[in-house]
Amino acid sequence: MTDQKPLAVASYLPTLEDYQAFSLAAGRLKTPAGTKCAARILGGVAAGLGAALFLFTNPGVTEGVCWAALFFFGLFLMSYFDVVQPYSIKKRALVKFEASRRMLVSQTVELFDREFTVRTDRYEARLPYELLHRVVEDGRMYLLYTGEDEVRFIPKRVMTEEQCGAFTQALRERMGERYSG
Amino acid sequence: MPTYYEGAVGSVRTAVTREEYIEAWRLDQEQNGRMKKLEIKKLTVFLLLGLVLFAVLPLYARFFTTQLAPVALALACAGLNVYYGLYLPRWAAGTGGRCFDSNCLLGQPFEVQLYRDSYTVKSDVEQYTGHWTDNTACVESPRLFVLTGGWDRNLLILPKRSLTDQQVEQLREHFERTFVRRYVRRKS
Repeated sequence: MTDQKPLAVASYLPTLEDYQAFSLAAGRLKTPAGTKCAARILGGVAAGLGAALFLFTNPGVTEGVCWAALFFFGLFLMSYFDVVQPYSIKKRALVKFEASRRMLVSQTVELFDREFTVRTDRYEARLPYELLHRVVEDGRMYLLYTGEDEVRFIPKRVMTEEQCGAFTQALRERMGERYSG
Repeated sequence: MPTYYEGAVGSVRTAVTREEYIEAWRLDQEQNGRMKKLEIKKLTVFLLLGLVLFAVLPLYARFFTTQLAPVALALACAGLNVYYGLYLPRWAAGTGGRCFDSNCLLGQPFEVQLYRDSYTVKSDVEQYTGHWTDNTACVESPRLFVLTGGWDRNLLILPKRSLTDQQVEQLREHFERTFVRRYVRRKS
């Protein structure tokens, strides 16, 4: 690939915990903050309205069912991005991990001055940083986005604190505004 | 391991355009994603809306004084009609285009070697191998062969403009035999 000495290296075999953490982080990033806020507000309004109408209007059977449904729908909407979505993402990640276990092979990522390399048994790439869409540093991993829906993850657990520092610095310097952490 | 000793089934050198990627993305969604069985879903919610408006509403009025439940049901059906009929097709075109624009690797020229059980893709910056069993389906449209659900790259797109008529026939036969029920031929 190249004879240069890499600025930082990460070599690892993804575990189920890594894959779930990656799926959660990618899922969180996919949802705009405005959508989460709107869901919480709308959910709160719907739940409050449902509860008020149920308690204070002396409803008949149909209305009672409707207002109760509105209340529970509001609760669901309010808690969707904090409880329901993370739970469903983790469940789906578990299923996908089990189904794709043979494809989650060990991976080595090396950062060089002008490019970075990714190597697995099946995939090999030498990508200039300009080809990266963005890089996101999460609490537990780095997410290297080659496109909006294509991402490679590197868990921080495979690196020491110093190595993490070198990794962050190398990526931050080269990605500029496309780095967020 | 790929069955190199049998020789390649075919070899294609091509590059995917934005329009082709958008089409492939839509085909993937229609085969595996949100747009799966879209025509059936559209017809069902349309019929359901008609049923609610012309049967449930009048019937409900006979037994109950309020119309809240059927009106809510009719609104939900109308909303689903808009979602399936208007929103989803636009969403597919928009998202496919955004994915292509954001990913510089998708427009790179590449060469694919197709083997009996696998394929290798090579471009100037990357090289990867996949097995047909990794892919969820093969969709053929008048312009493309699209292999969906790959691991390192979700879609492997083979535009027919880069193939001779004989290669198209050869690949069709190969994919039909390899994917069997997961091979789908579409008219659009």
